[in-house]
Amino acid sequence: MRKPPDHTESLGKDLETRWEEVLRGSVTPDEADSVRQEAARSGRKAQFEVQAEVSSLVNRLAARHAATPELRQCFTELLEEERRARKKQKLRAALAGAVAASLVIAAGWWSFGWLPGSKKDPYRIIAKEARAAYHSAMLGQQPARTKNAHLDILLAWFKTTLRYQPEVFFRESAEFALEEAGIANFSGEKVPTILFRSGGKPVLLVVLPLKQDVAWAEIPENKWEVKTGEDSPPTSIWRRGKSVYALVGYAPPEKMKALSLAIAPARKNR
Amino acid sequence: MSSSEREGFLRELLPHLNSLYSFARWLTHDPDEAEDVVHDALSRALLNWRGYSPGTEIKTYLFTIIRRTHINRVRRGQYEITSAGYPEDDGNLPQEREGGELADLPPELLRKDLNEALASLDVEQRSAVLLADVEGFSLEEIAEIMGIPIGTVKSRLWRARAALRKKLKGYREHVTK
Repeated sequence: MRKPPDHTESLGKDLETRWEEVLRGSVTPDEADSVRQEAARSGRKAQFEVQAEVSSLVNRLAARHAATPELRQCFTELLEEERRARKKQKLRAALAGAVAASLVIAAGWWSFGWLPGSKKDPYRIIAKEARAAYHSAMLGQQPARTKNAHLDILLAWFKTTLRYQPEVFFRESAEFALEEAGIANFSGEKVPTILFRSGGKPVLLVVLPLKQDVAWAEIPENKWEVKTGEDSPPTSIWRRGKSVYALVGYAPPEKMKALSLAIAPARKNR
Repeated sequence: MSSSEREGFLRELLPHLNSLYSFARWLTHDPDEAEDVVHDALSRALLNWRGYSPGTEIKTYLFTIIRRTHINRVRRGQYEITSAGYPEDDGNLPQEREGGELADLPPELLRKDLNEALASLDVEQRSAVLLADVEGFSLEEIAEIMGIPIGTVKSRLWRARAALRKKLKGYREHVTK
């Protein structure tokens, strides 16, 4: 029950409003009596009584429903995942000897953070951001996107939207179908993404210009690295020329590798 | 939103899940659609934490987003209301209090007719009555949830209750004969 207002608060309120407060039980007994007396004197006593009667009936007899088990389970599990994620963060902070800086965007991300003084693992950073872009695309929350099954049209769209075309060479495949192009936010920069679909499963390609982070120049060319994590889609990362590619999705690993080779064929090392 | 904020939000919403789902059932008349409305609304709330202002009553906020989600889904044609039959109780019967002529009638009969009468109200009147008399919101809170002035809440509420009483008028006549 809410704290009942003092008498001065009721001044200026009309009788209907005060009657509702009586029905809600949010006034003192003295105030409630005062309102009832005023209602009786108003010549509209019957109307006020109907309001009280029906309000009581609805409160007693209106159908009420428990949330479905599936609904309750969904949000209960989400809460448990957040608790686990928070505990992991505390453990990392204790191990690192410093406050953990990494943001947990969704529960289940796999990340060990990094120790002060050591270099950041570029694959881990790229995988984390690429998965965020994947989830954003799955929720339809990318800043911009366009649907088309032709690579040339998608690349032209990138030229209009980003003012450059990513180096993507994929043409046709029996396993993968082109679906749409999009823009993702990657550490504050806009980068191109292309959505494929294989057997109904979405696979997102994120193309990153090498100049975005000097650490990425250390990524050896043509070396294919896969990052996996608890409750997060596997992410394949490789470098080719001046671009780093990240492929995120649940397609079988051999198909993902075949797609990566189709997107950016290996170049001979200089 | 940080992980601890998400955890806090989820912890606060779970106790209201039954009420939210029940309200959605009354809005949609369909258990599957009600589940989708609640899931859709709460998932978006988790993603769009900025929509919630600290200090706002969480229950008011949750009912606001449930109602908005329902309206958006109807506007987008994601479903149609095909039946106005009342969503039957799951068996969690509230305690009955004594008093009043209508209370003397067989409760099953009165419950059924009251719920059918509620279901026959237009959705705006029905929402006002449920928010006031089932969920216990104040006029100010109902105005916030429904996005309408307090004066409009009052008139909808009073008309809705008067309409319900009229639909149940037959009981009074039966008792007094």
